[in-house]
Amino acid sequence: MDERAFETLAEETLRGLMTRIEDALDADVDLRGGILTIEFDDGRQYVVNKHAPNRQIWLSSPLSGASHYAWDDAARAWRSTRGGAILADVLATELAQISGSDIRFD
Amino acid sequence: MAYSEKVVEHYEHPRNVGSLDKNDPSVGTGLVGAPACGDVMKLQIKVSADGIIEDAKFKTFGCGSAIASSSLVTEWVKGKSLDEAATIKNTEIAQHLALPPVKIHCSVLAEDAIKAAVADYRAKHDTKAAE
Repeated sequence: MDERAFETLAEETLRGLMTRIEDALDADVDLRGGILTIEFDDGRQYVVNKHAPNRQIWLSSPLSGASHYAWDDAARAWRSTRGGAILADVLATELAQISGSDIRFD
Repeated sequence: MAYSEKVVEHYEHPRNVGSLDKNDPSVGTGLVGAPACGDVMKLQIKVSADGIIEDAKFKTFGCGSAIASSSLVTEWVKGKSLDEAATIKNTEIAQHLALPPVKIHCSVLAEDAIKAAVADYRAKHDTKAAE
């Protein structure tokens, strides 16, 4: 994937996540300069950012720590470089756990 | 974003900076990171005959968190067995250093580096055993 295609795809992903999270959660959600932050009232914070050199999306989670996702063309999804979990699934599960609300990204 | 005192302390007084001879059979070398993203970490261990890490050195090009993470790992692995060293988790490093959320990725690099060093040492010895 070239850098422009990556930027477009990753930006689309981050925007999609932001919209759905804003709708579903009572949390402070912000997308700026390719960095999506989700902050809860208790101070716990998620950071989802584009990492262009590796063509990856990086997740920083207060529950599971750091994980990195590369685009899986067959699955049309961002897949973890360790273990193969899908970014949207990981976020949906964890955010639901923290907030008690049901969240779906599909 | 502010760094914790522990990060600043390791950054200003990094432990165990330097190199070991990578051709020495008792030395394992892990080199991880991508020059494109600006972080490269080299971590080396010197292992005694009974499988205990007796020395560790690192060289890291990267941010304060990357330097502190590798510095901390070289302190932690000394005196540990290879198996123990390979179980160090990035989350433990991030927690100990109180890394800010955007910086915990540096701790992943440090975990990868120690795992790579252990794997390199083992590869050297497996080859030897097979000869």
